[in-house]
Amino acid sequence: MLVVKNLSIGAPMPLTHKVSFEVKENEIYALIGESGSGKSITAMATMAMLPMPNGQILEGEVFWKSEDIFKKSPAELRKLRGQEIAVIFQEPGNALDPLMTIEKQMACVYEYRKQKVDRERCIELLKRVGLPENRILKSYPHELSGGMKQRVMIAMALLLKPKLLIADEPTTALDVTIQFQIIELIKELQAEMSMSVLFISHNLSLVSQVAERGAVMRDGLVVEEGIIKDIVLHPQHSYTKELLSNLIEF
Amino acid sequence: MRFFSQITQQRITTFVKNKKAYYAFLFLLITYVFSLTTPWTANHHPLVASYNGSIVFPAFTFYTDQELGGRYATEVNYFNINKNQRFDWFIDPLIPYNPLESDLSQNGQPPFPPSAKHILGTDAAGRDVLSRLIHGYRICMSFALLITFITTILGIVIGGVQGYFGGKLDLFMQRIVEIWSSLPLLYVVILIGAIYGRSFFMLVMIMSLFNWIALSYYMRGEFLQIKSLTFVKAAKSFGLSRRHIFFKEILPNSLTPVITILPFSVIAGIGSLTALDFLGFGLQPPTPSWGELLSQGLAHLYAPWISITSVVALFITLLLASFVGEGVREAFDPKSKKLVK
Repeated sequence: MLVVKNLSIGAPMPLTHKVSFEVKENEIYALIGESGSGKSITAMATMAMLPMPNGQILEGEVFWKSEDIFKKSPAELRKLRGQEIAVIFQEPGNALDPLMTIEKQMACVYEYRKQKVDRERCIELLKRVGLPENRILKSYPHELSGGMKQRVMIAMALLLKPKLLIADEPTTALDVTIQFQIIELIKELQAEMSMSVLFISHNLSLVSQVAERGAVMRDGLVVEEGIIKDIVLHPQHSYTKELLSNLIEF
Repeated sequence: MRFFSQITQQRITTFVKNKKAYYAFLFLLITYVFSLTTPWTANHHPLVASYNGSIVFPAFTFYTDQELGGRYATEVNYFNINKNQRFDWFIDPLIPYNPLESDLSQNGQPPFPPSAKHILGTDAAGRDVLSRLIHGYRICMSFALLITFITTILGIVIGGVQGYFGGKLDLFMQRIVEIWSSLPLLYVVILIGAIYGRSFFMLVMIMSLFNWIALSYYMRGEFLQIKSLTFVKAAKSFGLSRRHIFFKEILPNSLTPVITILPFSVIAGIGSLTALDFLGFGLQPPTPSWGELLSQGLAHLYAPWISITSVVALFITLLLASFVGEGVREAFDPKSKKLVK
């Protein structure tokens, strides 16, 4: 489904070096690494949403369903975003517009596409992510807790039935019990809706619960790639070993 | 559905609770609305009159002199006719003087001191000061409000574009803004006024073109900051268009400085028009204006009713407007203690 080939991003200094990986259909793929290792920027590149002027593509390609994303027109890209690929962000607190009710924000996703607002699907999804939908629809983001906001974000991301969900550290800003619930939710939804998930995290133990395959990144390089179980049991790179030895703290 | 969001409602309540600001706002609003009616209520034609048994409304309808028993086919010269002779009875407006007409019926030379006829006296040309004052208020306020409206839009659009697109466009536009802001306004006004005439709308245009700069700095900053927040990124990731993100996501979230600056922008507008008129580079002379009244007051210091009236009026208006501004700023300040309670 999603193929990233030799992707180097950054200007003037490269932030990532020839990153390559592939996300297959119906799988959860993990990108693991410390902050600043280039995992988020790689994920943003798969939607061609790089911050300018520092996020220029130096080399490499990203293929979505064997089409080069960087060669698409802005209109095609807008169609791709949301409908094919959706994102959940790290800080649910900032990811919702503070001046709009949840209902309005969900409606925005439809309105721009000139589609009729499918209110039932909104309600159904809010129910599915475990929220009291009647209260939520009329609420403003500041009236919700962090975990609730992240659930709203997940519901919004799934509105148009995307084929790939990019979860950019979806649980980092949440406490441990909520983290676990959200992870379970993402896993269930992935199975239910048969989509792929690109799961980005710095937490190896969390990743080992979620993903089948993954890549470990450091300083913009993929240092290890393959099945998570193998990576955890037989780490090849010194950085992976270091990550594993630090797990005890968790 | 609530018409205003909760935060906005809270802000309005805070403003209304601030008695000083609220009453100042009401006073300015009411006086301005009244001043808009001055072409009828502070003018020389009677509001209602009875002519040969039929009721006429000279303030609102056009009558030729012949229709009301005169000799000419032109409009009645209400100022010169003897109203008592022409009409059976008539009701004059509150201030029955046109701001442009000289009443020289008294003995001596104008300026005439306050009397029962002219409550605030007349100016050096024998024109009623009160009438000129209230007509000047209308022109002055309209001028300030128009400028505020135009500069706000210009400031939002230019600052917003700079902040939203950033990069080289921002750099380029910022240099242009800097060059533009260093142009000397007064010389431009004098030059353009000399070439194209000093009409009301010409002045509004020139002043607007020079007054948006401060606001554009604020808007640029707000847009730069809000652009980088996650919800904007999220909106983009849902495939929403640039227009949607600009107008629906970033703009509503960056309006606080706009609203906070609004009243002060009005103050600046009043001040700048008065200053220009005072110097003689503002509106064309017979137009009633506070600046012109001030300069007359200075030229005729022995007639204190002119200078005192204009100074007091200017002082009160600016003071009340700044009360309103203070109230608005307090209502919109997130650090204000009243909001926390």
